[in-house]
Amino acid sequence: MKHGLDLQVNRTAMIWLLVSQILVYLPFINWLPKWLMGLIVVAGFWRFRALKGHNKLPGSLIKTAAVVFGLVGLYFSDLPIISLEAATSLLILGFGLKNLELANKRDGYIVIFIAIFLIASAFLYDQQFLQTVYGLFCLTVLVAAMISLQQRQSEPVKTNLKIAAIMLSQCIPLMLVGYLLFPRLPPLWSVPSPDAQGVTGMSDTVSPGDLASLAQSDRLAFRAEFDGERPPQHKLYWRGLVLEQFDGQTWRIDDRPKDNQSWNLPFRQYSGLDILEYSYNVYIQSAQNDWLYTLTPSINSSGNARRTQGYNYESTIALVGPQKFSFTSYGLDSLSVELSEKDRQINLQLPTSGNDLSRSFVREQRLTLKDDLTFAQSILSWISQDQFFYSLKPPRLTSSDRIDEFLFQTKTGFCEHFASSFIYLMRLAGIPSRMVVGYQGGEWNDEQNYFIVRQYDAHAWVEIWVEDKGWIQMDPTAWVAPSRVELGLEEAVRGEGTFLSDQFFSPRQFGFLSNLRLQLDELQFQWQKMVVNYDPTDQMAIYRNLFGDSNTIKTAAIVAMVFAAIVALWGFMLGLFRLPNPLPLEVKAHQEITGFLGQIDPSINGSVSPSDLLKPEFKSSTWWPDLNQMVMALNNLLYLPEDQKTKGAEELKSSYVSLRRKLKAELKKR
Amino acid sequence: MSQTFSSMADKAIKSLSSVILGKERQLKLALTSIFSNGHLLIEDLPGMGKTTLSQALSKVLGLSYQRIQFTSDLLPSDIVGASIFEQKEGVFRFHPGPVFSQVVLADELNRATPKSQSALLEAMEEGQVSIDGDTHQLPNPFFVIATQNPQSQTGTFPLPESQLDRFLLRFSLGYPDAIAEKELLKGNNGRTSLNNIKPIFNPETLNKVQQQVKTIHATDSLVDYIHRLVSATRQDESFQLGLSPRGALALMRAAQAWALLEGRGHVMPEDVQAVFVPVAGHRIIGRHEVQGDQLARQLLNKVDVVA
Repeated sequence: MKHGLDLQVNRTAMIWLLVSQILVYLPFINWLPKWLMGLIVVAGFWRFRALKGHNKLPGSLIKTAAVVFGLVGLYFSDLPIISLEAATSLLILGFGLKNLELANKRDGYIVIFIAIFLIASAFLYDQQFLQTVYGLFCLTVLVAAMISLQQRQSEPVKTNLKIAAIMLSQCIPLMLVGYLLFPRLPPLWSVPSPDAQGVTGMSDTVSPGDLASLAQSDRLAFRAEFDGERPPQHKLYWRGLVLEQFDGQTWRIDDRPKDNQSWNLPFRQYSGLDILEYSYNVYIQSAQNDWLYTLTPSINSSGNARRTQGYNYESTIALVGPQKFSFTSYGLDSLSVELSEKDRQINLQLPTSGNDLSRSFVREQRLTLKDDLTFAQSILSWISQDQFFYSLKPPRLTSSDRIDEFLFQTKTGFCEHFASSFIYLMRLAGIPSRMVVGYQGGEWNDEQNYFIVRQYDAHAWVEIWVEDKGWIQMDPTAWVAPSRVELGLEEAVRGEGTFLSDQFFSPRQFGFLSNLRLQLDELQFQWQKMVVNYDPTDQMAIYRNLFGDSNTIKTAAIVAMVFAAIVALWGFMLGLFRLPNPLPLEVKAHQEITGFLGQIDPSINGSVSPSDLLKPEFKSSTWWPDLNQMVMALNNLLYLPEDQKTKGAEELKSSYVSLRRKLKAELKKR
Repeated sequence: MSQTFSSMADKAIKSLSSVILGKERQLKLALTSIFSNGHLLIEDLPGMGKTTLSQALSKVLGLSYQRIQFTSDLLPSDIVGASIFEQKEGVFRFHPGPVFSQVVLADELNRATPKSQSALLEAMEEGQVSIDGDTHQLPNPFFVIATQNPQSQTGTFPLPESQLDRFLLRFSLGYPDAIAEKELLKGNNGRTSLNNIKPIFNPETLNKVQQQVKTIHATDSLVDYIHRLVSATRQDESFQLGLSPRGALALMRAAQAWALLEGRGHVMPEDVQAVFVPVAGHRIIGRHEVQGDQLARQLLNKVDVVA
């Protein structure tokens, strides 16, 4: 019974286990099906009641039912079969249901190990600094729980946490060496990004209201760090996608093959001219699409980016984790010099009918304004002078002629309304034009020289084609609400009070919190730059700093040696290499000879006294004299009073050595 | 000195062997017990020669001898004696009981009630008897040989462990071997030759022997061995009750006495092994079926002599 009790998880350890489970679940709350959370709360609560003695642990029938229910639930939860969510949900399902049979220490260890695995998987969703701090906190609690599991008597929470913290801090050197030096292998596979669901972000279609709803989120889009000079705020147009297809309501990417020739800008031609150059790094945490956001025009200098049609960039690898891209941008007003007939057709495409007011308006204006650029500018000034309003919450457009309804009735809209209508008017006038979506502006961090660009910086603007000049960027929104591009959305809609109004609590409401928020972001950015984005290139630099210029084999050998040294040191501290105290000769002789003789006569073992080894049956053997001598020497050394000893260690050694040799030979013969 | 004692002991054993046939080991153990100034418990069926042994022992040692037959109606006063009113003189006078003798044979000790048993055991422990406020010193040397029927026999009161601990040694005589038994049947009766036994020791020499036993040398290695045995009885999984410190001391003393009987001035592991089972057998309790002497023997075969 004593043994049985020892195997049980004691009361304190059980509380530790339950608490640490709650801590481990927390980061997943947003990502998992809600019913699953309910199920594991019930399971945990059941375990808690059992601990209190209110009820017993369920029988196998209920457990089986719970497992079946969970699996069926997962099946109908609409999760892709092979996805991070499905895998995590399955793991958490098992983890939560384990509570229903959590009784033995063995179960307790399983719970702790899975919990540690779950902490690691939480980093698949979020690698930010705070998550890391939280993960370390959870780890400390788990180690403390593990310590508690080993204790017969319950110790105070503080004591256990302290031991755990000390143990973990002892691991830090190993962690650092592992992090800095362990070879970074490319992943064998990657799982679909968890960001793909339920999180706001740019999409490849834009309808009126889309960007306005995106602007309700203050989620981070990306950070951009400038090495030297930075462009003025109103020039910060972060180009993402070009939308060219319009059906009267929604703008889409035109995926017909383009005449690539016209996009191949010889960027090199700019480098000699007196043109402003900005070099910057874009850090993306993770995103649902591969699109990158760059200033126009930019060339890629490092990172896994690829220029697609136009001046857009996309990542060549899935943005499941944080990535860094480096670009250089040139301060140019217009882009490209040629427009193929095919591209012209695409950029003039419009629904064939509808919006009659707009059509007659353009026809009327075009009579006097023949020049494309002049026409466009006059439209812009009309927009700025007529009673147009910039609003995050514009009235819904309900009629079939949405452009007419906006331009001549509601006159209140967000950037996509203005961009969309402007392009419509341009195309009616026969001027090739297109919509560019991306972000505009960003919050500048002066200490670390970077912009934080958030979802509410999402923006849509326009490019029109002017013969001999190329694509010219125009932003009708800037004409209606100059503060949008100068100061950002928050200032632009200040009077309206709609900025992030959907959020229950915003730190922006308080000055000092806003400051704190900036500092926190700075910390996150540093974390991402220094730690999360640490990649094989950085690692090679460290190798080079440490070991000088070297080839792969040399580096690998050095790294292997460092690890071997750490393992050796660790083993040494644990006492693995400590030699056992050498046995005294008497003990060794007795042990070994009784072992040998035991093979001849099974009744002989270590409990036989030296004198009793002199069995009559051995008398005829060749080694009898040696045995006799050794026994005499042993008895002398071990049991005679000091003053009566006649034989010493010498006799023992010689007789023992010769006896051993003869016995070995005899045993071999058998 | 020890040489002369051991030759005297040899003579004594030879002499005793003419009475108790083929039981040399037990005779040596009996002497060991006396030389270590300890009491002896013989556990055996009736008719094995327990009484003869104790009578012969007292004769060889030159000591006075009394026998108390323990029965279920034996009273403590039957053992230690009582103050009786002398009508002629008008005073109470103490009439010493049979316990006032140098060798006392407590025959079938476990047939008496615990109350009577403890009267004897108290006398053994204290070396004196107190009656009506007067303390009466027991003779010196004082040596009790108790015999006991196996516990399975009916009508017995088993001795509690605390009292068993007071006996230095316990052994059984057992059936005689074939030669001895045939000898017995031929008419070489122990009881008749009992009269021929001459005393070899006297109280004075016996006292000297007992002093001598304490000086028998034991090296550290040997003490280590004894300690290993003792702590094994306390730690081994198959033991419920191990040896007490008194038991450990008894083991040491008995081994010394055995060494003296062997004519040695120092203790060898064989001496310890020879006395371990009689010393430990009645003091230990096993957790499982194996008990007593068998358990002690098992342990002896497990513990390394040299380590």
